[in-house]
Amino acid sequence: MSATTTTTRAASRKQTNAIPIRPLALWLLAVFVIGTAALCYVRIKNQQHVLGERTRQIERRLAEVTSENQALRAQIRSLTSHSALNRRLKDGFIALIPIADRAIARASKPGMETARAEVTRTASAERVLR
Amino acid sequence: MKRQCAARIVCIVVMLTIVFTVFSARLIDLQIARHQEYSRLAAEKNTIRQVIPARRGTIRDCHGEILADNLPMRTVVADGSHIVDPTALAKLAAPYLEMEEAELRERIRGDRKYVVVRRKLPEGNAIELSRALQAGGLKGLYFEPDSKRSYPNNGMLCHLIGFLDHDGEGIQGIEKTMESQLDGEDGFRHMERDRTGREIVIYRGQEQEPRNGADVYLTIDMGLQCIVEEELDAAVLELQPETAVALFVRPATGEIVACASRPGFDLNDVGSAQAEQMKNRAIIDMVEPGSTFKIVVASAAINERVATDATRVFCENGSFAYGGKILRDHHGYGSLGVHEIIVKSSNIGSAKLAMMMGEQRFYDYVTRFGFGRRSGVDLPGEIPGVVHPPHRWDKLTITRMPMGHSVAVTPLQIVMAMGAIANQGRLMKPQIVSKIVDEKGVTIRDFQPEVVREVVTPETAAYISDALREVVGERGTARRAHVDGYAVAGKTGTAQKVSPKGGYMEGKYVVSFAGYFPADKPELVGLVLVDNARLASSANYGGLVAAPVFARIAARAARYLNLTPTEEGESTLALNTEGDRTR
Repeated sequence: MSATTTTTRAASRKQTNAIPIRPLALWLLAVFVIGTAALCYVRIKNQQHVLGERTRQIERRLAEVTSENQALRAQIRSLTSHSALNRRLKDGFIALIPIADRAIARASKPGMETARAEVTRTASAERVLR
Repeated sequence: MKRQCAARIVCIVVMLTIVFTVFSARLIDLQIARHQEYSRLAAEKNTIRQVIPARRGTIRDCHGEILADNLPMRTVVADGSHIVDPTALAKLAAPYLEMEEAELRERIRGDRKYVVVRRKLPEGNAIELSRALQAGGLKGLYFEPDSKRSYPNNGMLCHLIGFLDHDGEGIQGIEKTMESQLDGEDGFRHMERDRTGREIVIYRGQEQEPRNGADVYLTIDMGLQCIVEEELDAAVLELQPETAVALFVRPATGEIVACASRPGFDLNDVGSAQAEQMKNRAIIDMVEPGSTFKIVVASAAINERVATDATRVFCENGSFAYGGKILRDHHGYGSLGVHEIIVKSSNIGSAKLAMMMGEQRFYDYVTRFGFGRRSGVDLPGEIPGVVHPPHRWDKLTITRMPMGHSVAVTPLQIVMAMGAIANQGRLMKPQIVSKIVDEKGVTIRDFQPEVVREVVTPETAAYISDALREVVGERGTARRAHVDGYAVAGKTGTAQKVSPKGGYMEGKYVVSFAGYFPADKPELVGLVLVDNARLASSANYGGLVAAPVFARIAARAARYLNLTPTEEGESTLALNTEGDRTR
């Protein structure tokens, strides 16, 4: 009985296949590489979406800031326009004192004679010189 | 048993083959045969062509001050397929959109994918609404870039700048004539959106940047324009005329530096303006010029040597019977020289000078001075005026036209003719646009002064100029055009107003003063024209009404331009204060 059992065990041990480590490792490596590549692809794709979304938000924010800037510049232009300044001048918000004619000194014209150029060129002096 | 089993297997395999063949056929049909059709459908659903609007160019004065600008705005659109709760959305958005909640709810109800909810929403409101929508977790409202033309100076220079229609196209003034330069070319971007309507940036397709419009620089100097507008407003307030025009040009170049017409309108509120307010009277109003026209006959007579400085013309002591009518002078004069005919503004003297020349030669000079033809200024709607050729004249025309009757001209034509005298006889083309600059700051067109023709010789121009200078002197009709410290030359004009029904309107006058300063080296030539001032006939003369306005403008302009005084002055120049005005 025991001899029969031993024979059967020996036979079954003979039938067992050895695990092919090398091909298995190769397959595992291939699966790992493909899997990693796929994950990378997914991650990159996701990153692209995230960055795209961030780009969109930044673009939107930039457009908002540009528009706000334009609106403010337009407001400044409106407030500093000639008509607005004249209005404020009339309302007394800006005080301007007219310059008297005798207080105006004019720069010498190029090529003017030295004697004339040395005289203080007020409007009154200019009339006398003429 | 085995055979039966094999038959079953074959049957199943055949069935599966048929099924997969059908599936394959369908796939081939979808993916290959009808690829284009389905691609188009998919693209229509998810891909849109977003327009990137081009910025309209600005309009600036000669110093670069912006006269017409763009204010960023937004157009709010709704996509009904993205709106979950129209009531909540309407409640939240209505205050920002300045709309009734019920009206907004009605507008956004339904599945329509593109509904314009509000145009020209101010940028600030749009940003606030966008933030409120994000905070409330609501979607379905989107913002498209838009803009509104803005005019920082409101009504100032309104007739020259013009305005846009609802489609953003210029329909008056520089906005119209320079439309092709100011208007840019919209760009576009193809993009895909996800089911929530958000752009998928990584699938962004073809993109083209917009080409912004070019900036147009005018010859207008806003400093001078302000002076002209202020003085014209003061005159209108005081004289209550139907209309008034003031126009100033650089005689050497023909550059229009200031131009104002009354009544005017607010460019930022065109909707409330009447048609009469929108007329640019400097180029579309025809008036009988009156005595300012005498420079034509006097110049012509001198230039043609029909008359010389020594020529004396008998002025019939103030009453000249010709063609069955009597032509009168304001005062009775005996014999006058050409110089005195201008200074005294003798109608009879002028008529006789024209008669000495003959109809055709006189007519030639009228047209040579630019009357009866469009000047070619870059403004829309300019009229040529009315100058009939000699074969259409009646017997009286030769006596009436030299004194500025039987002829209709525009204020611009008067200024340019006076400018020809100031510019040594050379008639310049009026210029309103100085240059056009693209968005990168590169000048793409520079407008140069253009001489139309030499109307009279420099000697003739100097002779007439001398007489015009005396018109503003003690003996002349325009003493009130005198400017302290500067020699002014000019001519007054007083013409009875023409009735649209024919004939003249009793007691209604168009008075004017056209002149230039400093007379020796003219920097500016200008015209002040006042139509039917509310004054007694005895006070309604060009020398009494228009000349003082011209003088006030000239005094302030001389100070602004820092012109060196050309003659001894009595006091300081008239300054920009109410107390300094003498009316």
